[in-house]
Amino acid sequence: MWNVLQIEALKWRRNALVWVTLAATLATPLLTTLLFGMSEGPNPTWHKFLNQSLMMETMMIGPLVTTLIGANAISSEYQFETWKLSFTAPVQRWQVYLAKVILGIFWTLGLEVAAFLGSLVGGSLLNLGPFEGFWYWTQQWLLAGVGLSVMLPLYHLVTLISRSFFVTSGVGIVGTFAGILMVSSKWAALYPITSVPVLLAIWFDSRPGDVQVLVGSQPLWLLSLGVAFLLPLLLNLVYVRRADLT
Amino acid sequence: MQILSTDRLTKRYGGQAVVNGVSLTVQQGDIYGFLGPNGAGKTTTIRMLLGLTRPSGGRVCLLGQDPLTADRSLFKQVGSLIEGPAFWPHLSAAENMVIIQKLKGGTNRQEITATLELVGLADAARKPVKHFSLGMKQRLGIGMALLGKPRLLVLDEPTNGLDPEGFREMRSLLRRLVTDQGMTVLLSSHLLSEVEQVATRIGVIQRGRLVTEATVADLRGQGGHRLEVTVSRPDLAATLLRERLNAQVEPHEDGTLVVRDAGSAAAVNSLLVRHDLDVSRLVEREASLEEIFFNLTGGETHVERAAD
Repeated sequence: MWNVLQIEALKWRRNALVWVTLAATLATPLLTTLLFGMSEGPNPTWHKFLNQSLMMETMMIGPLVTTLIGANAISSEYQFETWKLSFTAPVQRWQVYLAKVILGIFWTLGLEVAAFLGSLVGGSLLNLGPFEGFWYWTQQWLLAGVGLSVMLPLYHLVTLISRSFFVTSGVGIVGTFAGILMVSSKWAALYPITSVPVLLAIWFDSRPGDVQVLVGSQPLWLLSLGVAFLLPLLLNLVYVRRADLT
Repeated sequence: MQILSTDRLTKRYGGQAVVNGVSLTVQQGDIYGFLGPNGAGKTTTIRMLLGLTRPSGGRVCLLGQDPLTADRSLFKQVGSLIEGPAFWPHLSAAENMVIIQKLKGGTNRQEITATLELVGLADAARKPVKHFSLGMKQRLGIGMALLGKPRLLVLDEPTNGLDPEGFREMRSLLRRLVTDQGMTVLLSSHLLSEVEQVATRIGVIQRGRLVTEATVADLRGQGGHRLEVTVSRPDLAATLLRERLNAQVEPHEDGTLVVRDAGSAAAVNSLLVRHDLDVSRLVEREASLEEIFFNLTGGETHVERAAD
């Protein structure tokens, strides 16, 4: 498995699209800094700034970037017909797929750390005063990364079936905007694509108090989150093992 | 010793059999030429041999095991190039080879260097594969298949994109691999010339069915011989040969008769002379492999003789 992970890392390192995702992610703190600098009133705070940056990342840029990561990992194997190299090698098919999931999760987490560090730099430029709660915010951004990673198997599934980078990208874009609309619904914590940011908001008590009461309970919401990740993951493992992908 | 065999291997798509009851056998040390027109079912068969496609019926025995259920370590002993070379194009030739080595369980830089030299790509080791010509890609694909010194090398149309010099090098390389390293090679092609000069045994597939499997010498023996006769009054001669000797006679535009199944040249000559026909030319010829394949494949023209 370690060899398969190393192989996946080598493929990623030289893939231009992977570096595009880093550039796009760093656009989050840049945009937040510009918008915050232009529009914020007399008492700007780190809390407001980082919250705005985190929301932009988890609701806008992050899902789009995660779509690209998920779609590219699978579609490139179809495009370059390289499945057949892996599937005629002495490794299990599930190992080849799982390496993509693991690398995707680590890269997504890495991107969120980069966005967080970028936000700290942006906030420093705005002279927001003394900064407090470093670990709190680190945790927030890492959880945002986990939340975004949860969507990877779904994007993989769409790409495995459609065999197209563009179909998955389209689904991701529609899903992202649907998520923005759905997140204000009382069902938000139950929809797989919005349960992640909503749950994070609940756990970190950053959800505004005037929103309507959410349908469901925390175990149910966790179940929704688990289904969002585990069900596509399981389907993908079965599909990769059984289907003729070459 | 059998390295690879299939038993009534069948693949159907939508009820239509693209491979139909193929039973072939590849022995240790063979260069097995798997020959057939485009669309005959060669690649589908090979994909089943390597476990990429599940058969609809029949079974495959690859190095003594079923490739679909065997331990994956079986594939350490198999190198393959299927339906043209595949690569990660943003990586260099050497990096692509590192990936294949890691998939096989380790890395050995010396083997990569030696293999790149063997396939004539030593100078392009660090160049991204996306900048390679088709011929270079083909060479790299063959090199990648050779990594790990497999016992069985499966090459599907490996000379696509190679020039005549590349053809010759490939044939020489395959012979060396068999004699020096004891490899067994399954070489699929629609090009007769590619196969006949290097193969020790040949299987011919046509419309999903294996129509023959034999050594090159046996195949030549199957073809029989023909007589070419130049004679006065060819129409009368043709009628006589058909009626008296039950021969198959094919008149050519230049007046020559091509005669098969007529027995000896002496019998033909005697018959014609007895009927006061002037025989100006009588030549006995063996059927060429090309004619044999032409007959075996029902005259399909996609089995081609390449420019050599």
